[in-house]
Amino acid sequence: MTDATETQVAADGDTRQGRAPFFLRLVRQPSGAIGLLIVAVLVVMAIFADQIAPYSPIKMAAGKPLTGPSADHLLGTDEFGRDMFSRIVYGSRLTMQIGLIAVGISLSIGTLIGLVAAYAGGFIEKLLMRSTDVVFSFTETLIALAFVAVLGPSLENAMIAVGIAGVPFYARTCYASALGEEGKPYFEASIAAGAGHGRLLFLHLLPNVVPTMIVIATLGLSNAILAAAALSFLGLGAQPPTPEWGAMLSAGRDFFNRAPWLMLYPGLAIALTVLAFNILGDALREALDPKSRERS
Amino acid sequence: MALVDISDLTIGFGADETKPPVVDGVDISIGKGEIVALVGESGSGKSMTALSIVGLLPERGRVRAGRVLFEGEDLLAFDEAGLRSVRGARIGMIFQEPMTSLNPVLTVGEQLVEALIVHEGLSKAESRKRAVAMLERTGIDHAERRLRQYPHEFSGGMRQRVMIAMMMALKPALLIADEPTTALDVTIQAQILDLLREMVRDLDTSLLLITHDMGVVAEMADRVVVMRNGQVVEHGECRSIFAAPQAEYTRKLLAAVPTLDDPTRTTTAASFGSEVLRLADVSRSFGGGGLFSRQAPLKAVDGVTLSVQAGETLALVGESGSGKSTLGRLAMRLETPDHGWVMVSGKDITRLSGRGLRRMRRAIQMIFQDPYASLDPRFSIGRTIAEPMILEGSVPRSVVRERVGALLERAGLSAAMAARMPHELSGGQRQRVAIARALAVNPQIIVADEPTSALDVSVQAKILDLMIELQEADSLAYLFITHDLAVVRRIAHRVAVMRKGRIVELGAAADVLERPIHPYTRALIAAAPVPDPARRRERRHGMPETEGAAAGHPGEWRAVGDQHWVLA
Repeated sequence: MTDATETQVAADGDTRQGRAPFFLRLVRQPSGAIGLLIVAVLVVMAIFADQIAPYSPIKMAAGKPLTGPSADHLLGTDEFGRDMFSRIVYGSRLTMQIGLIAVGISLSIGTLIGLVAAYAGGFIEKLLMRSTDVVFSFTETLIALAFVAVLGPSLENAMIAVGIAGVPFYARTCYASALGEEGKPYFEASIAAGAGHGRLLFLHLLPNVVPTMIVIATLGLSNAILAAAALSFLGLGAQPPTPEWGAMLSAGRDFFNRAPWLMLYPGLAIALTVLAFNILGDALREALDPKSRERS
Repeated sequence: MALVDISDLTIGFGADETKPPVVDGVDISIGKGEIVALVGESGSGKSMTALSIVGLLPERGRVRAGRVLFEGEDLLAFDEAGLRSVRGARIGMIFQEPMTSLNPVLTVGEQLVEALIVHEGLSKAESRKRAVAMLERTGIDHAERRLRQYPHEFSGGMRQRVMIAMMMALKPALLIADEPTTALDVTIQAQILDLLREMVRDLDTSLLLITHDMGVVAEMADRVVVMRNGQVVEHGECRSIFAAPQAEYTRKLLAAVPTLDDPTRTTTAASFGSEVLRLADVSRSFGGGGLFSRQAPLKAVDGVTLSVQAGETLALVGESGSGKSTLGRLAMRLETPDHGWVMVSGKDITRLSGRGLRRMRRAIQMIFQDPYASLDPRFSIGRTIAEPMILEGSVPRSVVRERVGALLERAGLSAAMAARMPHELSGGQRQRVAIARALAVNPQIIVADEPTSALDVSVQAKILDLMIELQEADSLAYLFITHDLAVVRRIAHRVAVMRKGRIVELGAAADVLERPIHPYTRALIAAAPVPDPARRRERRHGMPETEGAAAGHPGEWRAVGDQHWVLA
């Protein structure tokens, strides 16, 4: 029993067939292309820092202290005569690490809490969501500060602190998204088929909240980078002589009048990175949204 | 001269002229005070045609050719300002979803009064008086008080009345109604249709009625235009189209419409097998009981007792809010009853949980209304159908693939579809996949919650045929939840009519549909539109007069015939 009408509908009623592949939809938006480009440059810098940087980021007196940008030192030198360009390049490596690890911590813990709360319901739901609400009511930086105060100032502890402080946001987003999926009939059909907790949680709920979480994580990267830079700026994150952008910014303050580039370039690097992840996240959201179609 | 004269209208998506158009050379004319029905299945281009009249095509829609003459002027040549002066004042619109066509943050009165001030230039006090009069005219009680309420305090039918009141106040020359009753219950639908007919008669308005429901067409239209794939396949007088359809497609469309005259499925109770589902005195309430809530809990299901035997279809009929879907979910144990028992194949599953419940659940499967949400968008079709078998564990993994293919073929699809993803399938195909999934574990009973109401009529008929075929082959039982009496007639052996959480009438399909006893059942049957213009009735519909009885004493069961009971 094949039916003409139904095949007809399938053949010409389906507008999604004409959708461009995901990557094309992403880079066709100006924000997607620019964001992706900057992120790509950062990644290349981070990976090939050893080849790109002309000097060691830590060794002192590579040049004269506090000289302005020149052919030898593209972005000038700092108070110890270290090459600023090299320090910025190595800094991108740290920034990427911090961002990925911190977001990784928030994302995994947050997703787990959100999923379990939405799925379990009842007392567990109340306990989990109310606890995240409590944490949410403090500013992220304050929580990160408290963690670093307990763990001691170091780059690793800053990552952990920023990661933990981000958890409530991810947990809430995941919780809302999972609640929406849970109400759909396909989920109940699986219950009716006899699916157990693990299957429902990880094969049905998780894959359907992942697109939302990817967007959130991309946007969250910039947040995490900024928070970690702030901790370093306050002297609670990366310790000298580590070439971390926030720490460099902080060290440059003392010489602001004589050598403004010491603050300018790390500040610019942070701003560009944050901007890149933000616009990339927006473009991702647009590209992943099944309702947004290309415009002609 | 005709009020509206559409000629050679061609609409496509995007600037690319080589792509096939969605509306292709359509000619329609609407006379003064005439009701023209524009009929077609989804994707036929009927809504696009109507939207082009008021210049409200979606962003990428482009008119490629044609004219839309309204009172002698070509609307397609109007700029946005010109169109705005026509919209509302000269051409009114009513949409399917009454929830979204009113602004939720303004009171109903503010919206009505604003429309009158803008379009009629009346003073505030005058507008207010007119608004009250209009609401009263559309049958809304306590109009003064109602004006101060917000849209969410109105039911769907009431909101549609408000929309009509707004239209009546503006006295447009043309009213475009896009599926105005599709989201409403039959008794409300009948009242809204009456109201529209009255408006056409009293104000000499022309009505362009867009619908997929042949029953509504037969009740309302003077002339009918049938569309398919963007083209008009047939147009003519309503009576002649129903009596002697010329186009092949119209004939097929009419043949697929289930009517209240089809014979019911007849079988005696003795011909069915053992009892597969028994609900004994089940109740379920929602809300209330909270720490800060003083609201009384809402009894969604209130002491219902039912049984379904192997090979039998029990149709559960009722309007929205009657508790019929909750009852289906109770049978599945997707909800747990507050009181009473649920027994599947003689085993009590009311108190089961965990592994035991999971095992028992396989005997009872479910098909849902929304074919777009009932399949996991990240699972391939094959994986979706295989899931219940893998969970059951009785089918070796190597055979699962084969079984999936066989199930797809039983459901009328090809085995190759297993590799496809849900979004590549049409609504009818998805519903077939859902049926294949339900059959995968050889259940004894399937709970089908409005499985055909989201589908076009021709697809609906095929899905019903498939379900009947499967039932006869395997002596499957169905608990078939629906609001559509014509569908009931096609598939049900027995019917239970539900209202406010209680079953008010229960009996063989033929008895209940042809000799209804309970006033509510009668009202339901009277309100159902009949797809035959020769039997159009001039009626005045009111709410069935059982409010008082339902609120107070629940009444007692009384046998009124062989296996036919009524709550009185």
